[in-house]
Amino acid sequence: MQHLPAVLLFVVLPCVLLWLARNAARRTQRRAALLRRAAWLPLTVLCVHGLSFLLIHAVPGGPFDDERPLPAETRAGLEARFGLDRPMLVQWAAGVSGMARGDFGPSLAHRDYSVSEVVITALPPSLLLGALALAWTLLLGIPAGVWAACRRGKAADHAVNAAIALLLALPTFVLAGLLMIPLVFQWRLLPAAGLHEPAAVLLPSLCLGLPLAAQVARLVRSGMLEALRGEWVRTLRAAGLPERRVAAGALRLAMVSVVAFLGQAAAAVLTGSLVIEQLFAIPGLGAHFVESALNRDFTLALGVVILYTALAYVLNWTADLLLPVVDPRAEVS
Amino acid sequence: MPALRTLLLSSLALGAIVFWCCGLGGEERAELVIGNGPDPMSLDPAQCQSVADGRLMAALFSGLVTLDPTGGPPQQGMARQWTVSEHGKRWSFNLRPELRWSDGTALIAPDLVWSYLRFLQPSTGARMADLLDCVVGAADHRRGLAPASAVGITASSAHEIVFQLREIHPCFLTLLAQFPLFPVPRHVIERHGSAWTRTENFVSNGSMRLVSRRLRDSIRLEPNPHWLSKTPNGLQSLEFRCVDNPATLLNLYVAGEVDIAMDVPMAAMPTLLASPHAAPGSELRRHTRLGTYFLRLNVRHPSFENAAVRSALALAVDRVALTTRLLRGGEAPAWNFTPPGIHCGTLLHQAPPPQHATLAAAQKLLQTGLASQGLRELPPFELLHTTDPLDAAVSEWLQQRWQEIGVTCRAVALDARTLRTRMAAGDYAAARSTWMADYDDASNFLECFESTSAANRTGWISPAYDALLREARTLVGDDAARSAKLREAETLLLSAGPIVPLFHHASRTLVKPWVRGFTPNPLEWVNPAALWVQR
Repeated sequence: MQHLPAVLLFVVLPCVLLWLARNAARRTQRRAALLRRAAWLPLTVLCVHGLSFLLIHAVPGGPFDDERPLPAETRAGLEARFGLDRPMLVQWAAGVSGMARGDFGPSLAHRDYSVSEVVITALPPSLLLGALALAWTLLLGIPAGVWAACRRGKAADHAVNAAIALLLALPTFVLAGLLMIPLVFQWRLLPAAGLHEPAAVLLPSLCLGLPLAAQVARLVRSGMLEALRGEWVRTLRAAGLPERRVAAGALRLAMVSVVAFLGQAAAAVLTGSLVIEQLFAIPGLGAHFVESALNRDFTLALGVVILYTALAYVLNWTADLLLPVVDPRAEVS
Repeated sequence: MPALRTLLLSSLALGAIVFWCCGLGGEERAELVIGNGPDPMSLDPAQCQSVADGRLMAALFSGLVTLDPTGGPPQQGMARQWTVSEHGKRWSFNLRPELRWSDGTALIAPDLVWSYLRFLQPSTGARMADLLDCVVGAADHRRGLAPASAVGITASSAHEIVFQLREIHPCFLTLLAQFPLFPVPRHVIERHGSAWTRTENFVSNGSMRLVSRRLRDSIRLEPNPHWLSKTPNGLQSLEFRCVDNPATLLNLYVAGEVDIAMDVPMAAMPTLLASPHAAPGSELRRHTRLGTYFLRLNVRHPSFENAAVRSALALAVDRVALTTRLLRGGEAPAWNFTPPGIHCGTLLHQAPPPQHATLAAAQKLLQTGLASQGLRELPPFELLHTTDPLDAAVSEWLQQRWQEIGVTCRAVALDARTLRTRMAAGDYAAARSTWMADYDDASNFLECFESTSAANRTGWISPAYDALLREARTLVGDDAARSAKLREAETLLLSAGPIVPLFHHASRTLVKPWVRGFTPNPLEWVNPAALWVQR
């Protein structure tokens, strides 16, 4: 049971993505282009690892610099224990070799855990939060965009536009505070923080998803308005097609930009959000990402950066794969 | 669109499995939940350092002696009685014969000796490994200059442990009650190595034992069946919630998800103080902590070579306004480095200077100092602080205050590690600092500024100051004479001005009315064995 998240992360998720990729590739007959792109992944990861290694070691301060200075011998002992007393090049080579084996070494700030364990522990809450945030994004963003586009210039359109502007302007922590007052403190519907019960994930995912939903609504609205101006729409209407079918056709075209946007959005939300995780005390990856850098937890910082890189790469790749499905004119380059 | 449908279905399935993996709704709420602060770096007491870590360690482990929450002398822990030799350098502790680890294994004196020797070894990574330097051979063993057999900690029998001190320590008993010195299970460490802190391997000797641990989320404990006595009123489960953000902790407290919030955000204090929570004996408990927030001035920096200039900056700071108008969290204004109420430090506090005269006096002192350096005005300098909102607010406030005497400084926010590295390298002019007591004695503060102390970081070296502290160490047992010597040393420190004390920290804790046995104390220590719930 304890290895289940790891199995999900490293076996199930890649299998689902590869299966989707294979199907899409077969359908679009561009398998070669996809394989070429897949081949770039290891090189990208290696470059990101090298650059991150240089950057994190170039920053002043180390993992053992505390307000109360460590005795010199203790510091030396710790550096020897974590291999930080070796030359930089050796440390980097050891890091690359470990990465190839999926072993990033022990965490310097969470001494009872290895980096892989920290990531495996923190990824499920981030995935859950991100997946639900994406669900909110699509569930609220697409209908709102369609509704506004179909009622262009009317009160509904203005209301949606105002809501979009408000959601994009409000910082996440303000939005979270505004939602918490009624939902948590007045009506006591949802817990204040943590992930100790299923309902606990609703509010943080909503706070994370609402700004993205606003962006999706804006994309859908503008995409549909542009599509509805096309001559083919006039032809469809002249042929007597119901307005619902016409709108569906326009939505399909508008979805091209949404799918392209979803790749970045999915990478952003699935890898966690520092503000939301801190506000709701969610033990996800976002806080590890920032805190590992602040704590100079070199190994954890590198592990999280590599995971983010791989996830961003795969998710953007998946979005590109899905694009021809939505719009056959699009090509995978 | 079959691919989209597949993606949607796969995502839903994956989401459902992840939801299940997150263990949502898996555990019932513990009988008592303490909102404790950040996740501990390790469950190995030697590697812990923060006050929050200490509270957890105090639940899991027990030292030879334990601190008294009411501030009295240390009480019995693993030791049922102890004796000290006439010259004060030989301490002998008699262990309770019924001592057991949480797995039922007997805990005997040789195990304790092994644990203390492990604490000294550099490979253990004990952050406060120098705590035992007062023991014969401990410092040399720590530095690899002496074998373990040369360390003055021995087991004279299965139930007696003896400490031979190099010099008399003013608070040796209190020292032994510190959480980094809590014993660790030799039999488990020898079997599992560094993996002994994993939940499935973890063994401790305190009133509670570990049940589960979720990284950066919660640590759940239950009574240790092998503990000396049952916990009062049968506290069946205790949970420490690891929450970094005090605002989140407050939300959890208000929503009733934690019973004790060990920290309250500064910004919420005005509201809390105006509410019924703040009434005496109600939920908000405030008291002074043994900790001081101060500025370090680098005496090797061209701007601060002159003591008069440094003193002028210290004089210009209106601490009362700082604590009552800016902080408002119960902090005490600090004119001394040692906090009020600390052992052997109570005589050190002077009356606050009259506010109306301070600015003029500071300006005059500054001009005198600058004139002796041949300067007309102090060159602008940088005041380094961390990105913490409190630091930023205090730094801005100081900027404005010093502007009034014609001193310009630029507040620069750095992350804590960069700030400490620059301070250690002497690459700064002025920087914020804080010192929290390891134990209740003024020497724990004043020894930071000895010439050889790594915590000094100001470049200030005074043989006279070192001599005073050395003399104070010879006066252990004579509190009046020792206090006088420490007072002299602190006066020298403050007049030389390598530091500007600003305020003494305050503890702000929220405790639900049904929690019993909670005793606030200046070290913010909690005795979990004394806590119970009466709803």
